[in-house]
Order: sequence, then C-alpha cells, then structure tokens
Amino acid sequence: MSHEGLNRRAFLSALGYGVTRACLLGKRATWAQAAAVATPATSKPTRRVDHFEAFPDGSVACGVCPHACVLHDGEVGRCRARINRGGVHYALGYGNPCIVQVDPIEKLPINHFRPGARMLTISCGGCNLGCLYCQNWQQAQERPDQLKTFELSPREAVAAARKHKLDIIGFTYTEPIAFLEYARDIAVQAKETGIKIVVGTSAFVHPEPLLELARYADAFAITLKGFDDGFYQEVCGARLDPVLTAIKTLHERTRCWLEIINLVVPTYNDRMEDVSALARWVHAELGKDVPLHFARFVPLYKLTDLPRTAVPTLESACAVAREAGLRHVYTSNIAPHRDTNTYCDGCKTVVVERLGFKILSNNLRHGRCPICRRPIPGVWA
Amino acid sequence: MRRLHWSATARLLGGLLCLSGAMALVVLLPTARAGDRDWMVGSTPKAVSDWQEQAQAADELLSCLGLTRQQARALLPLIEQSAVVHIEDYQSTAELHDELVPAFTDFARQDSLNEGFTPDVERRTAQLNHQAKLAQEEKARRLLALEDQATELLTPTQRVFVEEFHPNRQRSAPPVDARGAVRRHLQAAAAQAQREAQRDELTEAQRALRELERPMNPTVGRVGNLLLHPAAADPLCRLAGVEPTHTMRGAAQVLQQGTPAHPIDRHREQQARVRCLRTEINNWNLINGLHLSVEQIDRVTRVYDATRPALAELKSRGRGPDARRDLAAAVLELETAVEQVLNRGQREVLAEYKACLIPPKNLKDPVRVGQANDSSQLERFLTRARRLTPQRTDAAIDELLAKETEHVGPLPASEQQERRTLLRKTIEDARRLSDVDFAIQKGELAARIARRDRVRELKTEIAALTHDRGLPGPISRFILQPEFIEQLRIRGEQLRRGPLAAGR
Repeated sequence: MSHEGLNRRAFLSALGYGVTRACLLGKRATWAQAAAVATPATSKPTRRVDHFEAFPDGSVACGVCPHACVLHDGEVGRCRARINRGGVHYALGYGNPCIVQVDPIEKLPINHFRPGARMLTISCGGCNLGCLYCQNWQQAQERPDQLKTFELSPREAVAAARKHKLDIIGFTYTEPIAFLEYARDIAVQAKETGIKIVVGTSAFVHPEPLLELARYADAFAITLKGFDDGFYQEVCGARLDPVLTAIKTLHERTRCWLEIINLVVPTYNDRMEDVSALARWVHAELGKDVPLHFARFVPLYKLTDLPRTAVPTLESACAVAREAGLRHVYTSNIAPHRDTNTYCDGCKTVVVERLGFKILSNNLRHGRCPICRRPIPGVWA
Repeated sequence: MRRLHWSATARLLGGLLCLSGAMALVVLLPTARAGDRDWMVGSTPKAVSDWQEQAQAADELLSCLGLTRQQARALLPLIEQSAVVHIEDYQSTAELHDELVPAFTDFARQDSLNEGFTPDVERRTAQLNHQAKLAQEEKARRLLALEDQATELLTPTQRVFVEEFHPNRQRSAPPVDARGAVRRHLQAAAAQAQREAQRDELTEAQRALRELERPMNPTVGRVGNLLLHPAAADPLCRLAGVEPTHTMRGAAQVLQQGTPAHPIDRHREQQARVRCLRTEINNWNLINGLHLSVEQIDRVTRVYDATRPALAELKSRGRGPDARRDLAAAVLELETAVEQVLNRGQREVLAEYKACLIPPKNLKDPVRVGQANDSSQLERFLTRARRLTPQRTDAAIDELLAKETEHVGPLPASEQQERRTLLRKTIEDARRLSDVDFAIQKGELAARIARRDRVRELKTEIAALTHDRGLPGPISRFILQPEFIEQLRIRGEQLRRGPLAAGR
C-alpha cells in the first residue's frame, strides 16, 4: 500500500511546468495554475467503490477482491486503483482510461465469440495481481493517476463505440477488476444500446462484484495462471482458490461465453501434471466445450531470464488437455500453427482458420460445421 | 611464376576445403542431431573470388574491348585507387569476420533452439551485421564513384560491351580485334534483350525492381568488378606500356596471399563460415516461423528424398532446352507436393518471407494476446505529429520521408509534393480529432498515409508471374535446398525428443 499525496513525479512535473510558464508568460503563471495542470485529472476520485466497509477509525476494508485491503485515510490498495479518502473508498481511474484502442477480438484471446469482430478496448491503470511476467506492466503495475489518460465517461465510451460502428467493447490488457466500477457503468450503458461486452480478466475477485459486471457482459476470457497455489502466490501475488471459485460462479450463474487462457511459463507452470490437472478441472467444472488456450510465454518485466516456451511444450499441453476430454484447445502467441484453428469435433474439418489474429477463413454455416452440420459451441453471430 | 604459385596454392586450399566439406556432408548428415550444428560450417564453401579467374576475365575483356593506349593510361589512376579500396576492404573485412564468426555461431545456436535470443547475443549480432553491411556499402560506394569515372573514359560501344561481357561465354567469342564481330554481337544482344523485354512482363518487373533497389543496395557493375579490379592492373599496364605501381602490386599480394595478420586461406575459410552461418540462420528463422509439425517435416523430407535422384539425373543432362524444360517440370511437381504439406498460414508466411539475419518482428516477436502496445510506426508518427507546431511538423515530415527513402527507396520527384500534402492534411485531420477519436481512428489514418511500397508490389507481381509460369518459387528457393532440408531434419529430431530443455 502506498501513501497518497503529492508524489515526487507530480511535484517535479508541477515545478517544471511552473518554471516554464513563468519564463514564457511572465507573472501570469502561478504555482497553483501549474499544479492544476500538472496533477493528472484523475487525482480527484470521482466515484465511490460499491464494495467496501467503513470503520469508525476512518479506515476502509475493500470488498472487491480477496486481498481485502484495509486502508487508512490516503492509502491505496494493492490494485493501486482504489483509495481511501476521508473514510470513503474511491475508484482512482474512473473515467480516465489509459488505453483506448481498436483491436480484433482474437487478441483477448477469444476464438468462439464473433470471430474477426473488432472491439473498442478500454483499460485503466492498475491490477490486483503482480505477475512477474506482466506484459502490460507499464499500465498494469502503475497507479491510474500516474499515467497519461483519456477523459472518457461511460456514456462517452459507449457513444464513441457507436460513432465508430464498433459493436463490442472489451476490457482487457490491465485488470478490469481494478476498474470494476467504471467497467460496470460502461457495460450498463452499452447494454441499453445493444453493444456487447467482453472482459479479459484474471478473476481474482469476490463472486458478488464479478457477478455485477457479468450481469451486463457477454463473454469472458479468463486467465487461469496455473493450477498450483504456490505458483499463484510466488509469481502472481494471488491465490488459486478464489480464482477457481470466481470461474465456477461465472459458469454456473451467468450465461456469459467463457474461454480459459493459461500462459505456460517454462520451469514455473509447465509441468504436464499441472496442465493435466488444470484441464481436468476445466472439463469437470466448466464442461468439455469451454475453449482452453495455452499461450506462449515471452520473457518480459521481471522474468527476463527465462526462455520462451518451447513450441513442443505447448503442443504437449494441448494433447494433454484433449486427453482430458476438452474439445477446443488452442495455442496462442505462435503462428502459423495448426492449434490456432477451430476444428469440428465430429469430422475434424477446419471451420475457422487463423493466422495470428487474422481470420484466414470462416467456414461455419450458422454456427455449424459445413461438412457434418454438427453445431460448434460459441457465439458466432 | 610467383603469381602462379600462389594461385595454385589457393586453388589447392579451396579444393581441399570443398573436399572436406563434401566429406563432412557425406559422413555427418545421416547422424546429424540437434545441437550438432558444426557440420554446417564448411560444408558448403562457395568459391570465393579467385584471383586467377579475375585475372583471366580481365585479360579476356581487355583483349576484346579494344582500349586505346590513351584510355588505358587514363584508367590506371582509377585502378590505383581501386587497389587501395580493395586493400582496405580486405583488412577491415578480415577483422570483422573474426568477430562475426563467433557472434553468428552463438546466434545460430540460439536460433536453432527457437526460444528467442538473449539480448547480448542479439545486440552483438545486429551490430556486427550492421557493420558488415556498412562496410560493404562503403566499398560499393567508393568503387561506384571510380566506376562512374571509368565509364566516362569508355566509348558507348565499349560500355555496352563491358556490361554484356561474361567471361565464360566470351571464351568462344569472336577473335580479339574483330570489331565487326563485336559490333554484330552487341547489336544481336541488344535486339535480343529488347525482344525479351517487350514480350516478357516478368523480365520487365525484375528490371524495375533492380532499378528501385539499386539506390538502397548499391552494387558495383561490371566496369568496377572487371575493369577496375586489381587483377586487371597487369594487362592494363601492359597495354599502357607502364609498370604496375607499388600499390597495385600490394593489392595483388593482399588479394592472393592476404596479410600477415590475416592470411588468405584463413580469410577464405572465415568468409565461407560466415556465408554458411548466414544461410543457417536464415533457414532457422524460416523454420521457426513456419512451425511445422513432425508429420509435416517427415512429409517434406520424404518428398525431397524421393525426388532428389530424379532431379540430379535431370540436372546432369545439361542446360539444353529440353533438359531445362524437364527439370523445370520436375521442380514444379516437387514444389506442388511440398505446397500440399503446408497449411494456408504457413504458405502465407513463406510467401512473405525475406531471407534475414535478425528475424522480422512478425516472426521473432509477434503481437501477443493481451498485449497492449502494438502501434505501427505511422501511428506513432501521427500521435507525435498532431502535438507539434506547424514549423516542427514540417521537420517531422522531412524526417519521415528520409526514413521512408532509406527503407523503401526514393519517391519519384513528381510524387514528392503530393505525398507531403497528404501527410500535412492527415496530420491536420488528426489534430482536429479529439484524443479518444484519434486513438480509435489512428489505424485508419495511418493506413491512409501508408506509402505505396513499389518494391513489395513488384515482388508480389514477380512471385505471381513466376508461379503462373511454373518457374521455381519460394518453396524451391528456401525449402528445397539441401541445407534447409538437413536443418529441417534436425528440427524434426528436436520435436521428436519432446520439449527442449528449458532449464528445469
């Protein structure tokens, strides 16, 4: 937890701005003006967090994720995205996403939900996990108010999607749980206009807040980091059980389309016994039709001393998952590869052929195999 | 006598190198295993430029060219300067090769494991490769300047003759001073070239591509390579009636014997090693990018092995029209068989593949799932430019145009103003957008200002024409090469053994 106040960066920034303005415009620049400009607009929290408990001593207990941070006045939670200000718990990045861009939905990755569709991706800074291999650490491992951000209210976000004819909004890259309130408010607005919501999350969250978002969402790509609690604690700064609970809750209590992603990190979570356990759990708890992706690790952030995941490891993982009974198993971050395609489970025909995020061919006919007419699970239109 | 002695030694060494390479190939190939990559080095030592052959070619050219004594004397100072260029190039290249060999070896070893590169190995290889490229360009630039001057000294007929000259072909050419024969030859060659160009779209596209690529990859022409080579100094001096200078002799000595620090035999060996390592790395890059399965690898190698004897037999029939037609048909059949093994994605990767040392981003580090930052160069340019003042915008546009010239060649003068206007207008449009709208639309704006890549277009056109006519395509160029197939077998072995050890 870090203490809130005028940090070094904000101070230097304000100082620089003030001096420059003073030089350029003479006496018109004031320190107050400088501070007002240099301090990010997000420093004033604009929305209360829905799930917290306030205590008489002015501290709050966050109720969003299992970290259950107890914060004194001015303190920021482990997600870096929520702050106790005067005994009230506020969302820091609300209305100020640090990422707004257009992406193919395959980038989440989601393979069985509107293949080839483009989505408006919105993310705010912060994450309640601290994965050593985080690939968006510049945003995810920072406080939202210390990033360069956009001004975008939920209504404006939905209007922007409509204006640019994007009928999917995605929350990914950083952790949507860290900006749950903002994501939820966008989702509510989006639902009214028929825009679909897809969420890429690590699901380290209590079921209630998750269900609040899921009520307005259409699909989830959930990163199940591994199947070993030690790995979760050591590498990701989280725990396995709450994640499994959240995934099961989503599966049992919502109608959202679900895909599971496992990033295979050499020497950490690439033991085939773990992969097998993970695949068997997915099969038993979520069913054989839930797609499972094995993504290739690339050395990043704090895990730069490891090699990339060997392709045969990913292939073995796929084989193990199929042995466990899963029907749709994919590899990610390697292309071209046969395991990036979608096959008919009956006749093994390629129904969707991919090269990276590009759809080379989509042979589905109304969600069915063009050859044997077997339905392929997913949301295809 | 001395020259003959050195030449014979060099040939003997070259022969021994080839022989040892061939023996290594025969002995080691069947047992090649993952990690046993040393068999590659020296197995395909292409003949390095041979002094004796150069001298012979220069002799032939000069005997046919009909240079006057005055012309010969005017050319001598240029040869003198060319000798300096060659001496300096020998020294710098030899030193560079000593560094390139270990760097490329490390790089190739990591490439063969397909687990990415350690930053130091990648950086060192990229730096040295860049140095080698700069050295090559520098040599070419210096020789091109001399070549321009030398060309000025020749008559138009002589210029065309030099450009058309081919040592092997000219051996059966008309007698030395038969000017009429030379002229007839030139006229016939020119007419033939014209006919071919008129009827051949492919030739035209290839020529256009050469023209476009020339400024980016300066290459010395025949005047520079034959007439200004230090090996031409002796016959030219004889023609001019003067003695070769000290520098000319020095160049002859360096190019035949090397320097004390870098003897010629070692230099040639290093050159051959670097060439082999480059091929090996290129092959690994493609193999890594294709992600062939064990079954696919087995099928490709089976197809190759099954057709190799027939191909060898066809090749041995010579270069007559029938033999060439039969060979082309067989190669095409082989290509088709291999093409059927590849899936559509692999075919796309192969079609776009360009031989490279450092793999391009899409092969080495493709955009990953869940990765936020993947904006293109033009998107980054627009993001920066929309915040600049008009004065600085022009500077940014100049910078972009200079970069483009470096990467895709210069823009025709007629299009430069048009492009500048388009860039300014797009930047203005980008400025008018809100931050959010710009973030959403920057991809479209970048697509609007993406420069037409004529080189790429021509390459695509050439590939299509080549394919339509049943001429060898990328499958022949890259996959159906003995070295590639052997590396493919190694990858097959690696895959069969299961996941590569990852430090567990």
